[in-house]
Amino acid sequence: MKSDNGKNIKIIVFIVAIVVAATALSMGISLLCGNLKFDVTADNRYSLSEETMKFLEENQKDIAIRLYKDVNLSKKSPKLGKYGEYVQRLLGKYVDKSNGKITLSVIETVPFASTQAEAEKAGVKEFELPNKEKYAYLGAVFTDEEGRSMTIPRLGVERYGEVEADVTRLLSVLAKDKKAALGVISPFFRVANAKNPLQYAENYPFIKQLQENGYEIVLLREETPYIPYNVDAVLLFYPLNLSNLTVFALDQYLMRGGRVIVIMDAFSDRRFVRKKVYKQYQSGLDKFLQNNGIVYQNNMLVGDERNAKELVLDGQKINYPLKPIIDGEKGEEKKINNGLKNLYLSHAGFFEYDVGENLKVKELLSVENSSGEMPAAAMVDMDYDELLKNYLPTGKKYSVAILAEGKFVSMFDKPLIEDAEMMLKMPPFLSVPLKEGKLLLIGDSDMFSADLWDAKYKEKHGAYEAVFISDNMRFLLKAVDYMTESGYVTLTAKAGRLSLVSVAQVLRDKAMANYAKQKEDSEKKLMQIRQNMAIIGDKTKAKGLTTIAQFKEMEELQRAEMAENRNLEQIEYLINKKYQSYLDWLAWMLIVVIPLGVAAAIWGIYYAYELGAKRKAREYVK
Amino acid sequence: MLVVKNLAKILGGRQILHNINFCLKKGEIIALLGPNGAGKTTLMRCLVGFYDLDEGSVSLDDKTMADGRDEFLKNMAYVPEVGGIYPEMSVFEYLAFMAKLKNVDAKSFANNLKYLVSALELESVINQKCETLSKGYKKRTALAGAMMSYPKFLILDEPTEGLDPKQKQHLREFLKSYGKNNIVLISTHIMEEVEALADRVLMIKNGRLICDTTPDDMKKVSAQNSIENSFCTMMDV
Amino acid sequence: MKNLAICWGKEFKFYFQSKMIYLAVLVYASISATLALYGSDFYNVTTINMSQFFLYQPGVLATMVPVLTMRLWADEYKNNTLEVLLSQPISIWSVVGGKFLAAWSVAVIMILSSVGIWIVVSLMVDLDNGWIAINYLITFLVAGSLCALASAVAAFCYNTIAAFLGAMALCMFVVLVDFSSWIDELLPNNVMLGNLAKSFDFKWQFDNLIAGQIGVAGILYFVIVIAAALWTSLIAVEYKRR
Repeated sequence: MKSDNGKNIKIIVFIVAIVVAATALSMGISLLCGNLKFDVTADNRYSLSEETMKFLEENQKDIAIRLYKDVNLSKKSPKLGKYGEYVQRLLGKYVDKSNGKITLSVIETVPFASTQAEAEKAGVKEFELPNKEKYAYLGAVFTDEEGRSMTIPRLGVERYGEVEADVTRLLSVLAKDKKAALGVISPFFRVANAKNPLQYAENYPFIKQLQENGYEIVLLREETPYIPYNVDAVLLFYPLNLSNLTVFALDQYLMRGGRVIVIMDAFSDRRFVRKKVYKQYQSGLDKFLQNNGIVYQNNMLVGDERNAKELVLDGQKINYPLKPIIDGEKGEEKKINNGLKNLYLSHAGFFEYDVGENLKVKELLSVENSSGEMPAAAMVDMDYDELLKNYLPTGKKYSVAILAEGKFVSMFDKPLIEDAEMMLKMPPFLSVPLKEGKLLLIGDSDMFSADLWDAKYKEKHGAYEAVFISDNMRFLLKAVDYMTESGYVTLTAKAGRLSLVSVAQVLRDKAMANYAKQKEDSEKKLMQIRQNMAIIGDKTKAKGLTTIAQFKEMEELQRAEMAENRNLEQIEYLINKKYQSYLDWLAWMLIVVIPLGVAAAIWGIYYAYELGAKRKAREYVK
Repeated sequence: MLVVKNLAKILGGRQILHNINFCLKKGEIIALLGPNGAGKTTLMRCLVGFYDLDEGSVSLDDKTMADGRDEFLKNMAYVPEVGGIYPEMSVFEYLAFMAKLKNVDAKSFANNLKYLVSALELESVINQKCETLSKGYKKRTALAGAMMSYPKFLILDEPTEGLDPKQKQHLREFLKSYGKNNIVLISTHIMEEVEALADRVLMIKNGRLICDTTPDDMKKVSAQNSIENSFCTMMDV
Repeated sequence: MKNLAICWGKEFKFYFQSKMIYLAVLVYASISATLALYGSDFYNVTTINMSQFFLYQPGVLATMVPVLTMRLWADEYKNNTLEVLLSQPISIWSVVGGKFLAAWSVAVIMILSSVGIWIVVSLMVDLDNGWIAINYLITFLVAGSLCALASAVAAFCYNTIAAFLGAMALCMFVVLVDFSSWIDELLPNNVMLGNLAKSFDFKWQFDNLIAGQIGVAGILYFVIVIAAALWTSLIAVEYKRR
């Protein structure tokens, strides 16, 4: 006879076996399917772009990512905590897709501990937080197999749309054995000014951006007899009255197959001419360009009515057509223009060209159909109404950036320099081109001034804190990538939102809307009273004494001001009260009314079903 | 035909049933007798497949549990002594549920329902919740539920317990007529019921089948020629 | 399959007959809304995926699910219906599965009762509705695994109170215990063990799934929990039949 105890033991063994089997299965699945994940977010926040995937597939270099994350990040700032989790997941995705080439380690920084010191040493910088805890760390350090390191000092929530672009960029820079070098010639960044060569970097921080995006910047003298071999391309930013010597250097560079980016302007910058006096801009390159069939029209400005930006001037909105917004997708060289939608220009000159068969010109940026023009000279000392009178709609096509590739014609038939010792240092003179060169011309230097591409340009910051308001910087990055053939990856920003306008904000706005008219009236009244007070004040100041009538009037105005202030306070109180009532209403709805409603609805449905069932039962029995 | 061979059951480490053997034929109403704790309920539970058998076998018309649970149990029904119905359900819901479990088709359901509700006088309570029914109605509802499929083998545990005399009489007549074409096994303590209903008596003591006889033969065991006395005599032995 | 549907139907109706569903919906929807609104800074930091709402779901469900499952088996014992049910020509799997599915269905209805929050909030701000819908499906899955665990406990218990307390203790343990931190504390640098601990961590798996990236491993984790718990329920019922 079998024993009952034996059965009990069997059951226990069976349960244990189930637990063990489930555990083994769960572990196996975790190991096998751990990387099998699907992105369900509307903005595909966990999906890597095609360019990133291609880069990860091709990358052969081992790169280690260290994510420094404050140990109490979520407590210190819930928003940053959530963002940190998101970045960690995104970096995990890079690791998953890298065929083992990229590794990620998350290092939790503890205040005053070695991890914090390590983070700081690696270049990670603290976030200053508004609450009691003063700072927190969230940054990433990328190190390649040779120990080269690049850092994103702060992974800020504002850069949510850019984070993939930043990470892929750094990885693509580290994947190359050597950083690409860009020679820069500009009156803004003078080598001669040894103390502060980048003195205008605050207005034109693109140099800093290029450096942080993997370029070695070689500042060249404005008077340079030749372009050194160690630069991959040359950028002429705002070339101003270039000497023949520099033109010779550039001419010969292009003959040797060099790559030159020239960013010109329709105006002479105020730094170089007396304030408010218009002076026609002269780059010094005109002759060289004309020699190759290209003309830079800097006496006219390009307008675009369709894209005209609405400007508010003295409280009035006017349609100002001289800041065109250009769709870069229409450009011909896709490697440069792809994915760039919003390119802002400001008072741009344009290019006209009729080149020979050895050169090929591609349009990069242009304004057409709704276009127009205006004399550049009309810009100075004119008010905006006057300006608009001078504007002439033409509908013509204006090219504001072009790319010329091919064999350039030299301006020179003999070497410009006769100094034998110097000649030995220089590359041999070429009167006919040796190789095909590339020349990228941009007709507006303002395009790269911080206020046209970065919402936070006035603050001191690096690439990883800039908040782009246009694709201008990305256009430059892509152009430099193309010209230097660096192989770096420049991604466009990901559209999407990390956080929303809050419910509180919506309800507050709704509450405000109820009293908007009253508030506006009251504020207008207050402004009127203050203006009147100022007029009386001016009068008394001018005369040096106050009449009794003025004194009384002033007193009355002060009383009226106080009354109006009280009225405003009252309105604020009412707005707050309304807002609170909305919050209460929402809470009641969600906590009491909706649950009761749902329960009642379910009861109703079941009651109807039960009645039907009872009727059916009676019918059966009859 | 129900055949029980060498049936044995151990519960909680104790052997409740020892080597039970009997055979029940169609048209028989069998009374299962035995003192409290003799193993009657365990035996019934073994017969209806609630308990697994430790030894032996049960077959109904040559089909055993080994032929498939569904196949074996579809012609059996069991009504426990108390409960067995769902308090929250109405009588109709309960009967419909039991019919579905037995896979009764819609047409048979309509006919069976009508017949059983009328035979067991359940019309007035058809939409009433089971928890609100009186004991008699509960018993009859449980019986109706068990009979929704007209099982070949019906097992009832104390079927008339708690019923008034009229209801008892009515139920006995109903079972008698049903037992003409089927096997009905009734576990009871009421000897009057054995006399009134049973064609055959199975008696269990300490988990062993000690007697398999007819009520008339059983009576002869006692000097008074009564089943009750015979039962007591046999239990004392 | 048919028998499973019959058992499911009977159990599902039970929640309506016993009025339990109304209580569950009321309590659940109110608690969920209260926690979402006041548990974190919902008004000021409104997330695109209503994360404040989903954050508390495992905890809320761990409290509510035992209420749904406590009577699943205890009532069968109390009313003596188990022997009737198990002497019917249906498999025990159908009974176990039907009971579990009924509890899960009611849990789904209960969770759906909170959709009002989603609708009201989406009328005010622009949410990622696809993501939220997926998060709801994941919450259903979590509710399913908790239902399976709780009904396994219930199958072992003979009375309602024991079934409720036992299931609540198990659900709370599963939801609240942070295996990965334990391992981090005990063996700080053991990545392999750390990952293993994470793969067992209910809350970690849930947080991972609702973050917008559906991992197959995560889904299978919950499916395995359901399967293992159902198997255990089956053993419990078998045990009682012996």
